[in-house]
Amino acid sequence: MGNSVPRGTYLIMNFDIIVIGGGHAGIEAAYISSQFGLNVGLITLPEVKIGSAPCNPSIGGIGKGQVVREIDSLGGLMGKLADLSGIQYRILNDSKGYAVQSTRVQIDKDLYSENAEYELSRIDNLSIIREKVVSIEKSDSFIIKTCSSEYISKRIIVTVGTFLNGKIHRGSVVSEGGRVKTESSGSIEDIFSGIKIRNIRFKTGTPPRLKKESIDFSKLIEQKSDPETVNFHIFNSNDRKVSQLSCFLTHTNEKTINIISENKEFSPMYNGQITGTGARYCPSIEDKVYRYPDKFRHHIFVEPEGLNTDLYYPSGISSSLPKEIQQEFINTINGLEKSEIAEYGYAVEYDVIDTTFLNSGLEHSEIPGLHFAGQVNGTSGYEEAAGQGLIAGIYSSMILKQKEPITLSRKDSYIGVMIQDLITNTRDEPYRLFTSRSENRLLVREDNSHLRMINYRKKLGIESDLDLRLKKLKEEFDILVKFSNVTELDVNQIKAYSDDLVLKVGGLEKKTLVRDILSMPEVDPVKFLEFLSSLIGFNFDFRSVRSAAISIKYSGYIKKNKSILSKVDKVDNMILDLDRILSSENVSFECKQRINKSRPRLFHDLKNINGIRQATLAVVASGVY
Amino acid sequence: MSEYFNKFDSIIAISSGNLSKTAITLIRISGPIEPDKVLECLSISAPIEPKRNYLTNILDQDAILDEIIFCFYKGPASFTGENVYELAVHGNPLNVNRIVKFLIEKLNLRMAGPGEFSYRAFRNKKVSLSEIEGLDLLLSSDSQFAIDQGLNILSGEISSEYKLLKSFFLDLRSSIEILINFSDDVGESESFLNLKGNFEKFFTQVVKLHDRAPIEPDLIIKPKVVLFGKPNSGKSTLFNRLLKKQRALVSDTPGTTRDYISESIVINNVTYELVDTAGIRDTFDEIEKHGIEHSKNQLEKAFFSIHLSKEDVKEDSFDLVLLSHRDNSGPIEPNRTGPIEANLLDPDLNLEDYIFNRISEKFIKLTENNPIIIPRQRDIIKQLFKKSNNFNDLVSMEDDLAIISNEIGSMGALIEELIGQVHPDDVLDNIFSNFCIGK
Repeated sequence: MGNSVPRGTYLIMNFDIIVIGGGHAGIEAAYISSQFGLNVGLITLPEVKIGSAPCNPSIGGIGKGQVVREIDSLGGLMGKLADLSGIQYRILNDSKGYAVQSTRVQIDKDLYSENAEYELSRIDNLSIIREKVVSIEKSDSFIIKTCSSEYISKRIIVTVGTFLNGKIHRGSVVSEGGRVKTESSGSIEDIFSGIKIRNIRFKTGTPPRLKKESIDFSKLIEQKSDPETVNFHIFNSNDRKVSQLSCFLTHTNEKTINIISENKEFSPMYNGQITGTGARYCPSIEDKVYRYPDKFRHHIFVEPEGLNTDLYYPSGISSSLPKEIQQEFINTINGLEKSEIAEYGYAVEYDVIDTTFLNSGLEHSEIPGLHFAGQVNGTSGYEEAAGQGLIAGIYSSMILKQKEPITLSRKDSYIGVMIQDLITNTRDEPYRLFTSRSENRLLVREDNSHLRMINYRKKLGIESDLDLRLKKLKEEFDILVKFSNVTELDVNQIKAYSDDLVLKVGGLEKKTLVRDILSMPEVDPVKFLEFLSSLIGFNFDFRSVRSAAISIKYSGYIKKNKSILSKVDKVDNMILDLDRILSSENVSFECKQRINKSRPRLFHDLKNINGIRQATLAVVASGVY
Repeated sequence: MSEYFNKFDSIIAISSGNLSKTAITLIRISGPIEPDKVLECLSISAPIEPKRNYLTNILDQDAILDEIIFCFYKGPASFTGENVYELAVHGNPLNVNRIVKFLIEKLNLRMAGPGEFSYRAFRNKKVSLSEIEGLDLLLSSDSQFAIDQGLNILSGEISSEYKLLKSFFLDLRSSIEILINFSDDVGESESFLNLKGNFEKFFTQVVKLHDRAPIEPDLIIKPKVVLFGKPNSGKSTLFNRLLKKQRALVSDTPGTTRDYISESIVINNVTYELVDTAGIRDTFDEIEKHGIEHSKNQLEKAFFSIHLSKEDVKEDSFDLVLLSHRDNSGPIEPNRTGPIEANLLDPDLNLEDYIFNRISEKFIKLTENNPIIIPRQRDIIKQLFKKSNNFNDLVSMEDDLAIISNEIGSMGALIEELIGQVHPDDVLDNIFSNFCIGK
């Protein structure tokens, strides 16, 4: 069994890697580092559960589902934990094409934390330390002091979420803390002098939680769990680990909106009490009402927080209004007329790190060995945090193992998109992954996540069951693609699937390649290849059938994109001579500052730096700097 | 990158337009070459003052090649930032070519590539960088040397049309992203309507630009007036009459013997190249062999085509048909000229003026709506037009949003070549500032 360090004894302990923060970033960073055989410590606040989900009770979603599967195929924990606690599965964008589909799983929050704790605590070379960090010093190694102990580590990964200088707002009541009922972790300058935080603060919020027995579910629209949705974890099929619950849909109305607009002066967001910047894609109900006063009907998804808990999460009405106003507007909503609030909504403001100082392993350029991952980097979302934690863990472990660290490309992964976006650019609002951020949406899909990750995983040099599993799935995929490229079907064979399809394929004499049938707009490629595989007697994993069918359907487009992008690529992949750029008279001082800060490697990185002038790009592209 | 990239040798070019027989032609030299070296082929001697005009002779050893006005601009205070020499020479193309050839050999120069003077000016910070802004040099590597033409275009009215196109495209891309990411918030049917409406706006703008790119840019940049007709239909006669007439209009210099089958001709301040298809002696047999094909090719390249014929020819393949040899009903014979006629509405107007008017009319008509004449931009607009034409069919057939979005994306790649990057953040900004999005 793993080590749990007892509290109250003064200790000095040595580690290879210490992770500070036991959230979704911290879990992945600590877990993957332990898989490299390193001695890992995970320091987390005593009163906060490991892997807790302080906001929405779900994992995945559009763009995010891809990240969860990428993490899973690289050897991370999130997919497995989500499956172990998954109480409702859904495919989003079901009817809009395979490349834009994503999985979302509602989780039992308590189960998720329990499973996270269990998975970590059974690792021998991983110690969970429940103490508050007081200071961090850097000499040859990092010295981390808590009230009672001192920990020495070669490298550290800081994943403190919203706890940096965290301030909670609920009406006019302001308290210290990274989230409700916890303390904050103080400011980074107090803990670690010399680290630059950004001079803006971010803000996020969460809605009030409702008591189950006070909700009239008969008035709400039910959304059941979808039994077909493929589980996140690569070893699972579509089996469910726990019983399934429904989510429910309701809407705001004119009365709700009126109450919120009448109380604008009490909103910390709008009376000047909160200065932090919130994400526009995740507005509070106050934001929605004040910005779109004519819209009365906003949807609210009422989601269970777990199997045994009494709490429901009304998604869509995050609020930091005073308690009594929250209660008042909730009771105007259909089905929630008698709802009691168990925990009031609030907003939290926190400091964020300037991520342009980080490299592709999220290591700080001025303090080697120090990594930042997760919400402290100004991202939002459990999945974004986990992806960063995993990368920071892999990178620092590979450095300690004296291997060349891997860098995920934005061309074949959403994690790669996110990391590159973060380190080339500071943001004015919390960063979330949207599928539109990827230039390669037809390729970077959920169904082929394991195929996209297989080569990265190989480079880690960890041998485990996962690698065998990935290898097997890749072989099956290759066979199916080959089969589809060379096999011709005659009309009778097609008829066995569908009479309509025969008409579309054309003449009776005609033989048609499986590949060509899969690419037809009228054909569901997955259903057709599933039908064909069972006819032929392939006993392949359905992940392989799905990924092969969808890959073939899109292959023509992907190829076309490549040729369009290749011209762009030529310039984009130009390696920059930073010294020359920074000493060039043709580059403005302001641009130089930005370039010096984010140290772009390729022209593409330069192009994506915020506020870089066209003129600078022209100068660099033409080589006249 | 171009072959000129990072070369620092000295270059020469004829700066005052094409080789028509103007009185004066300006030759420019730019590069590290020092004044002493240049003075070796002039009759003045050092020292010379910069920015001062000298009347001097170009000397090939002792022989005087031409009497010229010479001026030296010392780098970096010159327009390219290098040493620049300007030689105003007499404008006969033969004379100009001879001088250029002589200077290249004597001073070890190189003919400048297209736009290379501007490029050097840019390289040496002589063109203000803000002038380069807006020009998307980045996404197509061969656009570096479009600076020359592009600057004029992009700083003007067309630029604002491109910007409009980009903003419509941003809306179009936003609507597909709303369908993929936020249709819960915005509403499914509203999202589809939004996509449809935004596509229509975008398409209208594409069509508008496409209408402004009706002809090959070369036809306007170097317009050719081409004379067609069978041998001895009167082409040479007309050729000479037109030349003589315009010379009388633009200059008193007596014409020299014609050495070319094409000559520059200026009509209403526009220089055209007048081409006599019969004059191509060397390829005469070739013409006979591939007669039809060859004429077709010539016809495509002609800005204004004139057909001389004994009989009426269908007018629609030519801009103008003239009837020749009307006095002779027998076979056309060599070396026999007869009157050339056109259906002149105004009997006072002579034939040459009539032809000049017709040519000018066409030129004005084609240029009045400021046509897009940069080949690269025109190509892109044509491609965009084709793609967006196909887009409606695609949407009716395909309900896979990823594919639809991909096709929009490929239009985006073209727009980026035209007017600069469309960043995903721009799309998201556009969505968040116009729609109520969020959980």
